[in-house]
Amino acid sequence: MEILRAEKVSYSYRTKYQKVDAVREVSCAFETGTMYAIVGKSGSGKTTLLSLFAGLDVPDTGNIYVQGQSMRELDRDAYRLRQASVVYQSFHLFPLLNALENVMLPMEFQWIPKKEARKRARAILQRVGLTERIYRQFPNMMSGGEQQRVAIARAVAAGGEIILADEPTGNLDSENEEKIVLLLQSLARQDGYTVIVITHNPRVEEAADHVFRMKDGTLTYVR
Amino acid sequence: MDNVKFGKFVRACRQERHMTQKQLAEHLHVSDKAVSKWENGIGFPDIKLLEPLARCLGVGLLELMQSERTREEQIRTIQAEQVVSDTISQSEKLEAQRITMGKIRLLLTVSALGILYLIFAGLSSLLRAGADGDGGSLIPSQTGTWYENPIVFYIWVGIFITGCTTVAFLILRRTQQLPPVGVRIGRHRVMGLLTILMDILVVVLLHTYMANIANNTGQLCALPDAIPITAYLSNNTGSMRAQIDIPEDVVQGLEDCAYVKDLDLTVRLKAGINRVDPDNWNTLNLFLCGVNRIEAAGGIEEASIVWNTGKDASLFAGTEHLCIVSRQLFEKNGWKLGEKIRLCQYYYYRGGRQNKELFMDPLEDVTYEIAGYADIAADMKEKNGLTPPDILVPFGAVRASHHRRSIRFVAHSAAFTVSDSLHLNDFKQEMRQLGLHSLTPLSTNVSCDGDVLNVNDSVFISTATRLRQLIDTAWAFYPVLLVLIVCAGYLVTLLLLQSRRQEMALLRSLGLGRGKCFFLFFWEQFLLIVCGVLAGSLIAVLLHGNYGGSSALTGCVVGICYIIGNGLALFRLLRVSVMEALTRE
Repeated sequence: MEILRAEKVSYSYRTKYQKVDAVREVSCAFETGTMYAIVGKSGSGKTTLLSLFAGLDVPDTGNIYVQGQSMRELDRDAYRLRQASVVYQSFHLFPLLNALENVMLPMEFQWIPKKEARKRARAILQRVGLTERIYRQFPNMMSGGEQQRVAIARAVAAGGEIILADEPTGNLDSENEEKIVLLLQSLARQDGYTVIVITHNPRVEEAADHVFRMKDGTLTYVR
Repeated sequence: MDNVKFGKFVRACRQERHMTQKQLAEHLHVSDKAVSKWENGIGFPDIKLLEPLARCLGVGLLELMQSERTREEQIRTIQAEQVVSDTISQSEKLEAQRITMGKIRLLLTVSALGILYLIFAGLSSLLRAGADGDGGSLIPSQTGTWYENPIVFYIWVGIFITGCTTVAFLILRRTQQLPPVGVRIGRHRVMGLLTILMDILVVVLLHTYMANIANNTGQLCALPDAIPITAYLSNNTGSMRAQIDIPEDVVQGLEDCAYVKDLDLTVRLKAGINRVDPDNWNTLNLFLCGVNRIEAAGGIEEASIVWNTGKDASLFAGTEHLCIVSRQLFEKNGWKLGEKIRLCQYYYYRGGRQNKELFMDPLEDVTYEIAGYADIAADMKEKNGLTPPDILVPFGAVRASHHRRSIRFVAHSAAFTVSDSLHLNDFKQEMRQLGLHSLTPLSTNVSCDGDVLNVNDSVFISTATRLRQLIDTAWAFYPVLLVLIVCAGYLVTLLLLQSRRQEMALLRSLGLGRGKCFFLFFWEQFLLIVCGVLAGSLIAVLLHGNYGGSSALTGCVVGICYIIGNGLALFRLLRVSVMEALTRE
């Protein structure tokens, strides 16, 4: 089932010295239960495209539809709260919260009672392969792989169907890299998420169901 | 030099050595975001980092600068120099661009400050014009205001803070799922402490500034007592201030004038004891001086007079026939205190050519009771070459004698203090109505009429003018200070919260609305500012010794301005691109 679609989306921004056409008339569609990889050289516009899919920026031209509804008509904060979540290369966990509390955060933003949120958070952390030992640990006590799993768990906890990941394995060693790739794959295939990953990692590209290539702001379908 | 090529080369070398960006960054003591920037061709490392970077990547320095491995074992000197020159140029070019943008920002900031100053100056003038009911008089109006009562003010502040806390709690209780604000402040305690210290400094500085204004205002109000304005009558050229003819209507006018206080009047007579022989002017050998106050006699202290029982200097205010005689005369004639003496009084009048010659005629024979004696000659300052009197009598008694005899009465000197220095113009207008005018020192026709008013007001006017200028200047600069406080709040917040941009961006990324995100951080800063302002107000009170009212008001003004700047800074920080904050530096 199609969940996210972009139609001739273009976006440009101004740096200090020039205007950059980061995304040029990109059209694509994403379905549930599928993992996508967007590859391309640095500066090709991948991250910008991801930020458009996350509702963090608004396209200059064209439109993005989420389950048939134009993102221009959506409350983009609510969209990020309930439908789409972003996972970052540097994990970006809140240092003052332990793993459980980090995962509970999006649920509490949605006014879900703490007890219910805690119960769901435990289940999600278990789902991403973390043991009870990790739940009360703070980010500075965890390894990179564990932090990224918590970040993915937080993304899942929002309750949405879309997970956007920006180089999720960039700061991991090869062993953790593999674990994260498998986790993302299982979330897509088993749990029905739409997982869109920006990556340079050939392993991620290999694990994805579909691959797009971004070059100079234009997106082409590879497989 | 191509940044993109350089970045790709760095990435390739790093990956060959199986290093993550973070590991490379740790080796070079920079952030991993900086490494990411280099590899993406957005930034370029500082020239000082090139050598350690080359070492970490296992390449030569020139290879790094050329962004390619060289197969040649030796690089020609010219080629090497070119590469180094390119690298330095690249670094300088980026630095120049940074400087240019900095100058543009500074120019825009100064322009914005100028506009803000104009707005504040206008508002400030409007407020002062409304509060200043005197229409610009020399001394500002002194009215009690609510904020000068410390108890009332602190109650109001307490209610205000309680209200804000309640509102914040109600708004945040369901959305603030981050750790409590106290924990967050504790986590960033250094920044919190800097914010508080900055607030304390600003409050103390502004309080010092306001205390200076208050001090000058106090001095201005106390100036009439500190620098009393004296005045006296003289002739037209100012050469005579005694033995001048002051008509009775002028005397009466001075006595009735509300702007005149401590009026000293004298009238001089001659007298003989018991009788005067017209053929023997030696019998008219006593000088009498009618004075309305002991001070008018000039130099005689009341304490130095030997009084008869029940008598004191108040006798000169009346018209009773009491007198003070010189000790010499008293002892020479063997008088006793309370003894009555008969004086044949003669008065002076002018006549002859141009009315300048002095004549005498009999006035009245009066019996005076000796109320006391003193060393009049020794005590009195010899003023204007006149002989010190032998006997002092009440001014009113002499005047009454003239009235009884229907003789035109004139006083011979008049001096006084202006009672209300603030209304000099009104005073001078009233003096003009009495027929008194200003000095004409260069007049060739020297008269003996006492119709010129001399006012010693130059020191008072110059001092008052100077104080008023200081006060007005300080108030005129006040809006600038408020603008500076806003800027201080803006800059300090911007600098201290730069490191928390990622936290803000992450909250936005998780779906927290911009408004809620703003309020979350604003509440934290608000508490810090309130703490700083309260501490600063307390310190200011301890330093300057003022009571809490004005200090609390100053603290409140600082707090409001600082919070405005703080809010603007938060607003700016929240406008940053989320993706940029979270994926790059």
